[in-house]
Amino acid sequence: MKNLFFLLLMCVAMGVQAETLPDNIYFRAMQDEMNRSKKELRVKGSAKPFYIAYRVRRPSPSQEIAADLGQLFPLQEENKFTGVGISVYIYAGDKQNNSSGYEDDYYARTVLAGRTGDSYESVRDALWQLTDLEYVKASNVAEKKEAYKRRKNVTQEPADFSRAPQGKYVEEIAALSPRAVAQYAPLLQALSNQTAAYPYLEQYQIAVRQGQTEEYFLDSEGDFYQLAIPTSQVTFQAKWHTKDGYSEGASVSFPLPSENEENFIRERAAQFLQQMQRSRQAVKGAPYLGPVLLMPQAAGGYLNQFFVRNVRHAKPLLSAVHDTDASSGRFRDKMGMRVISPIFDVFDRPLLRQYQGKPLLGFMPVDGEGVAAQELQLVSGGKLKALPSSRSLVPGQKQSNGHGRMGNQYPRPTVTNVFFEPTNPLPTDQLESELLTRCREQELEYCYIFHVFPGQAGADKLATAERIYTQDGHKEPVYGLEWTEVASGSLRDIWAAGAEKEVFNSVENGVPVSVVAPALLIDNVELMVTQKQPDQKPFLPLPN
Amino acid sequence: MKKYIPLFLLLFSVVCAHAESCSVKTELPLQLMGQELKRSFTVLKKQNPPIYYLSYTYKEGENWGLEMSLGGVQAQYHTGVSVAEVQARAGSPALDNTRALKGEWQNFKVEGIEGAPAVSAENSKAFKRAWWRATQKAAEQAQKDFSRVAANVRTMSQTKDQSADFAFPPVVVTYCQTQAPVSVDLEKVKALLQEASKLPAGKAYVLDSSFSFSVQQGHRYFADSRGTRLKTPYAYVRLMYSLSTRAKDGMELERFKDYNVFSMDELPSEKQLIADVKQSLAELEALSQAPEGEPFTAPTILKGKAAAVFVHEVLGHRLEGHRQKDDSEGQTFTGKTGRQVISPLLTIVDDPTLRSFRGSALRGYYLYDDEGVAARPVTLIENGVLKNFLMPSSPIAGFNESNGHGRRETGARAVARMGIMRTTASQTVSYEELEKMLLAEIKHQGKPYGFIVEDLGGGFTYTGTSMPQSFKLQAKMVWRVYPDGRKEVVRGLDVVGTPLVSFNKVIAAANDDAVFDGSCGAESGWVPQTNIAPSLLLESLETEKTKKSGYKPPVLPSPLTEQGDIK
Repeated sequence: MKNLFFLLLMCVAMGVQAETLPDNIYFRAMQDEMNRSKKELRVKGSAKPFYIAYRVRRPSPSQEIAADLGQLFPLQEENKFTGVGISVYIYAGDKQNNSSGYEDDYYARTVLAGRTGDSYESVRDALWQLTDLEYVKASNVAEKKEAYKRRKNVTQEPADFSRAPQGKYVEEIAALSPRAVAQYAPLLQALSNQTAAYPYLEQYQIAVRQGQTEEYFLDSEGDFYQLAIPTSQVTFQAKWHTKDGYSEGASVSFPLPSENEENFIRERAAQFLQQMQRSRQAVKGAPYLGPVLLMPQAAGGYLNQFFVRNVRHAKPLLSAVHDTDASSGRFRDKMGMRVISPIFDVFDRPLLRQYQGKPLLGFMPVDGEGVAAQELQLVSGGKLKALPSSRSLVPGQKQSNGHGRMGNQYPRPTVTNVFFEPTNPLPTDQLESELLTRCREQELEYCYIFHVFPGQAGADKLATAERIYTQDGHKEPVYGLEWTEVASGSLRDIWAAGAEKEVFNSVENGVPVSVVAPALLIDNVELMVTQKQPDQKPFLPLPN
Repeated sequence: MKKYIPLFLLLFSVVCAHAESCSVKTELPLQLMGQELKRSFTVLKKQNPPIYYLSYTYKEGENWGLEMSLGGVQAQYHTGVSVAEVQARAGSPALDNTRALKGEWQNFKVEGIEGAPAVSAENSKAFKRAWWRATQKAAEQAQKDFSRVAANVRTMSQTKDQSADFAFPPVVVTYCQTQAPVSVDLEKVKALLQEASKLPAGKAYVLDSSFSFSVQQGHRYFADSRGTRLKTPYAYVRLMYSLSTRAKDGMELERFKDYNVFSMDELPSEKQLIADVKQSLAELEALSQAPEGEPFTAPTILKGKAAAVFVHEVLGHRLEGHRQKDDSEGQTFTGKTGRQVISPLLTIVDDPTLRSFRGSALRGYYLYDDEGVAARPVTLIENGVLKNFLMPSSPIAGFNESNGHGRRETGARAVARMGIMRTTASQTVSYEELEKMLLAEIKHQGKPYGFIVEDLGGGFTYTGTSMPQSFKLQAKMVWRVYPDGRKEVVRGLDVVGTPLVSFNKVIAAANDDAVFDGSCGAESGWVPQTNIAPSLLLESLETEKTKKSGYKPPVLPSPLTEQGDIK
């Protein structure tokens, strides 16, 4: 029943498995240069190019409209086009041993990328030059990796590159709807003009940007995909002074849904102002040890930091720089162990584009190594059941499950859209009363409810928390709290979760991930207080 | 860091068509700026330390751009510009927050900026709040900087030049000029560049090519606590292309060209542009096959624009006023007024008010500098004798007031900069005669060859005392000239030397004045500038090898050279 309900809420990717490469200048240029490089690209005495992949990204001309304190800006941006982005990566060597999975500097980890014009000639020319540079780099890395393995007596099983189900996905790409951003003008003017209720606002801007990015991929195994990624978003930006004299500013962006955008903007604007209002009225927090309630957005940030970052990159990089690959997740060798509270099943669903009408940034039908992406059950009853894998497997994995994701760096196994499904979810008001009960048991004067996870990019200037007092349940906004935990132990201290889930999006090293999470009740959380001092008060009052 | 001054060959023109006068009293941005400035200054001048001078600068306009490569659009934009900036001076004119700190990195950046997306004056509430925020930031930073300066003055050695840090402008000015924007037809430019940008395709010796067009236009509003109120237009239109390759030994080679126009109609025709690109391609091919030059000292002609770049880099920066009072500067010309400092053949005048020269619009043109002072022509060197310096509002010994050369980029603090620097010679010959004089000099010195430098590109001038106070300029197009008159292109040479020696080696000049428009980067950021100079014959000039990239040309040839491969 739960799964049926779930399916009803989701929009499944509408693209199709395709057998033939679409005909456009990008695929023609990629195919032509790929064929030539496979056949002719060699440097005598160096490792040959074993695997070649091309990714072309063409952003649509973007449009933006913005308003500040009730009036539109005269001109922001009109049909801005930033060129066609090209990424090329090559594994030099062979199936067993190649240049992948090794680093000796930042350059060795980073995929070569460039920008070019939107003609066949310019795309082809860019592919040619980047392929050449990438091959020289890959063959050098392959030699350095071999030398490292000899020096460290590294024997490697399984092979660096495994065969996998072919990824072929094509969706029709329609030009971005010419629905002008001007349609948002009245809404933005009205929303940004809410200064009567917030007279202390020094600036309050709302901007809507419309855009999409077409993405084309081809590799030397014959895998390919073509899709469009929506990049429309709304951004809220405000500046104010807190009662204690801190000069604060916050800027928060959200991807725009494809439908009911205006309602979405209204909701987010209300949330943003509410958070800002809390920040304005907030009192400084105090050190704390006890239970907390994370509301869904805060829970998303928390799970992103402590679960998502630990479930990725199962195979550490061989590194001549570091003894331990810090980017490799802590769950890599915890298969079958309890990594999170037993109330959770956790799924990774790369083929979903939306959840309850909200965009999921992790959508990915084919991964960055051309492998068809598969849904995974990562956790069952709190125990780790599966890890995302790429073509470069770890012992125990049979083949890639299509999670070799590429951002700015070479493909590595990472999750996409992570869904946290609790057993016996509770309504929000019950979560609050559960929290109060637990706090009273621990004889605490108050406990904390977080709306934004502390340290979350862009929102860190907003008051992130509220105190809820055990005596009468009244609430008080608080600022300046820091989450001290750096490991993932508290995942196992979650004792209840909410029924309503929200989407939390993040991007790291160019890899977007969506976390779909409910509110969480967590025991034994330790909080510290920021050392930041108040700013000098303004010399002058706000002008009229 | 500030001791070297890179120069970019960015060329474009000042457009002054359709200018109309207006009134500073009715311009809404100036009205609102004036109100907020007055309100702020009344309070800030009573602070401790006091803010004794405050200025507001507001830029409102638009930027257009188009970049193309091999027939494809690489970038295209049309964006609004709206930037509010506040400059505050804390302390007193005798000692304020702008004084150069000894033994520390100097702070030439300013804090009081509300950049894009800033606001329009039409939204008076948001506009005034932007100024309020920027004023607070600028005042706080000025007070913080003043404490650093005061501590620095107490603890470090005394500066030789004890001049004040600021001189109020001698006259409080108001000026208002409005200009209709250039009508930009981006599709027309796209069509123009479409064909031209395809020409490098299929040329094995071309590795990279880019074609671009840009327009920056709008108005600058200036108000200060003395009552200065200015509205001045700005408009820069530019079309350029760059072609480059890599030789087998890893040396990067480039040809570059750009155009100044007054309006869209005056952009080069497709026929003209294609002819120019073909010429540049031929030059690049010749360079790619040319022998590598050797370090050598020989008689040299700096031809046309190359002479203008040479004057700018080697001499111009050393005539900037603020360098004369900074003890960490080389001060090549400090205290030498009235003395012969360069060849008596040459006279150098900087006149930012010169709007055009022989039909060419001049990019360095302006009527008021970035400190609100009226620009005026300044004779810097007359018949080789030093007469004056380029002066901002910071006085130096013997020169107590600004001559309208305080300039800066958005976000930086103004220092002395060039505007339109013109070099003239008391005696000139035709260029053909100058080449004959070169051959005679080569024979006279018994040299196996001399040089004609046709194109000087970017380079560096070190004016500080922490490094050799020399220059190094990239010679992009150089001919070796043999005693029999034969010429041969060579690649891979930089022109190097020191200023006093080099400018005393000028022995003749031609009557072929050339205009070099560029953007120059220094302590106060990138500012548009123009240099005008005739071809110069130097008794000798030193060259040295340029750097190489270390990369080979690509393993495979360009796919676009394969017949029938272009789809």
